[in-house]
Amino acid sequence: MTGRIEADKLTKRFRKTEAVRGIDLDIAPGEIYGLIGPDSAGKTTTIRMLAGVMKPTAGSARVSGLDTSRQAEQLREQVGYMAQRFSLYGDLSVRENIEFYADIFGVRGADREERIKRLLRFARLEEFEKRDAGVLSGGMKKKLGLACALIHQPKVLFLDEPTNGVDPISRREFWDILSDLHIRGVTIFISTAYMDEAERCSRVGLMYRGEIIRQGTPDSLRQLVKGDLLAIVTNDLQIAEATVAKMDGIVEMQVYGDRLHVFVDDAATRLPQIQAALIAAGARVDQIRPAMPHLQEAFISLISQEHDRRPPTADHR
Amino acid sequence: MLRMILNLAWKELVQLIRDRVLLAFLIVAPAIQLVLIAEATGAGIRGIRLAVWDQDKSALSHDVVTALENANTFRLTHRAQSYEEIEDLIRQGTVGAAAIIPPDFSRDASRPGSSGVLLVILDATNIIKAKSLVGVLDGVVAALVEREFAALGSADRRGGIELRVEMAFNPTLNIRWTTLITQLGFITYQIVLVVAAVGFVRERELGTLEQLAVTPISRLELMLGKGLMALGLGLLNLFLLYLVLILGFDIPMRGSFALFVFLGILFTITEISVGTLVSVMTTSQQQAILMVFLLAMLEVTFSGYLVPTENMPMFMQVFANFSPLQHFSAILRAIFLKGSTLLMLTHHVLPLVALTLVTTGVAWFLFSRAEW
Repeated sequence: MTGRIEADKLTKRFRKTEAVRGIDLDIAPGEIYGLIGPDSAGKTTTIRMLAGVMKPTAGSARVSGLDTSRQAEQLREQVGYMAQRFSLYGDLSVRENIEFYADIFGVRGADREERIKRLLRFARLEEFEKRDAGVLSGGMKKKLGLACALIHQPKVLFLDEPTNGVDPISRREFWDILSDLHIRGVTIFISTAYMDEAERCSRVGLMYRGEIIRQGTPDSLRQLVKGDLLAIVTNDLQIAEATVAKMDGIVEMQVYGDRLHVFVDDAATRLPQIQAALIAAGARVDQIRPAMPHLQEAFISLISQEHDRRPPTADHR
Repeated sequence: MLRMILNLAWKELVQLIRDRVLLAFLIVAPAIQLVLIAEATGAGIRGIRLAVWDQDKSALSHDVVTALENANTFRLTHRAQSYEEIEDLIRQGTVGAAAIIPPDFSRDASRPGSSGVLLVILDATNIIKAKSLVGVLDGVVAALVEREFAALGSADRRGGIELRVEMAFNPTLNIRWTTLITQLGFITYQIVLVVAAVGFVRERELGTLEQLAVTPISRLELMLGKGLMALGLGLLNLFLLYLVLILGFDIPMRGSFALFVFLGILFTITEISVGTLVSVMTTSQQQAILMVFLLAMLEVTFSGYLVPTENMPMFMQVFANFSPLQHFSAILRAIFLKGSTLLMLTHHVLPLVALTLVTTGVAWFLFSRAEW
């Protein structure tokens, strides 16, 4: 039971909008579950309800077997939570921030100093422990936040876009810490806007307009994309896009920097056709090859399919 | 360049109009303030309780008492029979003014070369009030003299009435005494209210409140923890300001220091609760500060700091009863200058206790149910 996250028709309505629409979850102890989805999909509201910060309008959720709204008090010991707008007391030092959380979680005795030291080392903040938290870099703040959320050694960790706006190196360090926790059996529930992070999860839920529309391992989500992916490098993206759009057998197009990603019904027949059409249209084709779709492409593709199937209504923005 | 300035001004205006709360404060609040002050000053002081010790019992002394009563400023509540009784009534705060008419008042008044002495003792703990009462008394006596003695013509120079006013508790009418003692309350009020009002909303704005929500801290502990800090700050302030008043300005402390501290705690708790309410109802520190600003405007108006409470029209006097600062200012002046005891102050202490209970109760009710 310890470490399990369950949700049963979890729903949250605000005055005008239904932010979360009856989602079901069953996450095994020790999983890293990634919640992805566009902004305003309901990710934050979901995490807030699971962490016991917000009461659901309907449905229920249990973490380690404890009801998140009725047994919120007992839940505190089990759960670590880092809000999206997480912030620290900027006028307290790094160490004072951790000590404050140690105090309110009742971490006392011989264990205390040991834990604080380990977390500081863990977050690579040892040499900054006397510095005011307010002057730390964005990445260091996030790591300090994580350290504070871990002081009571929770079994389940909820992280709401913890690496938003953090540089790649700090992000990797942050994920090293998460991997470490994962190895120790902590269940991690994380929402993220970065697909490379989602790839590192054991399971991913794709949330859209208050519902989890797809769920599975990163691999299985990638498989859901219809058609084959062709990656095209060309000197003129505008011409290329306009030309390909008019052709048959095209499922979807996405522009990635200097590349055009085209989903087609069958790569073997369409590749030569597209190549010929592009050259005829006057674009130079530097490269055209079948590619393995990343989660990124799968994400965009699945969302736009869903969007076409059910265009957003006025009540859900 | 002008274009740039206008562009920016336009953006500022649009933002201001969008922020309903700010707009209300900037436009409605000053208007309310002005109207209240105008109302407060317009009426003139009324209903000051008056004791009279008429030892003359003549037609003229009777006329004097009637004239005082007719002035509306005074309400005759006590007829005293001795100087001790008069002293007691003033000291206990039962009356705000006492008139003493000596035995040979009418004889002296009608004898050329002398005059009948009308002695009035005023409670000068609120100097602004006392000063305007002197003005009223001057007017009443002048009118009376005009009516009683003018008919006789200026050739017949008879004595008339001489008004002697004695200021109780603040004999030299030292404006510092009243003002500084009131300031003691007001400064404490401001500090405590701002600290308490910003308390939670600051953490909510920063995002730390949500983090606290998942710790074992209960809401009660959170509210009490924050409140304790504000209480400590309030008391420290009271104590420091007290030292400044006593040592720096030679203001007498005639009452009990323990009573001062006890009622100071009560007042501080009330203001912490008000501040907590502000904090729960606002979403940003800026809004909280504006709300405190508005509350302070109202409290200053109602507290009798600018205009004596007795000067206000009835509806405002009713509101003034809900102002903790009004009660606390009166309590402070009475303890310092009159040496009042708890029993003498019941008419201010009981409302203050009631306000403490109500504000704390409501603050806890809303705070325990607020969404983070």
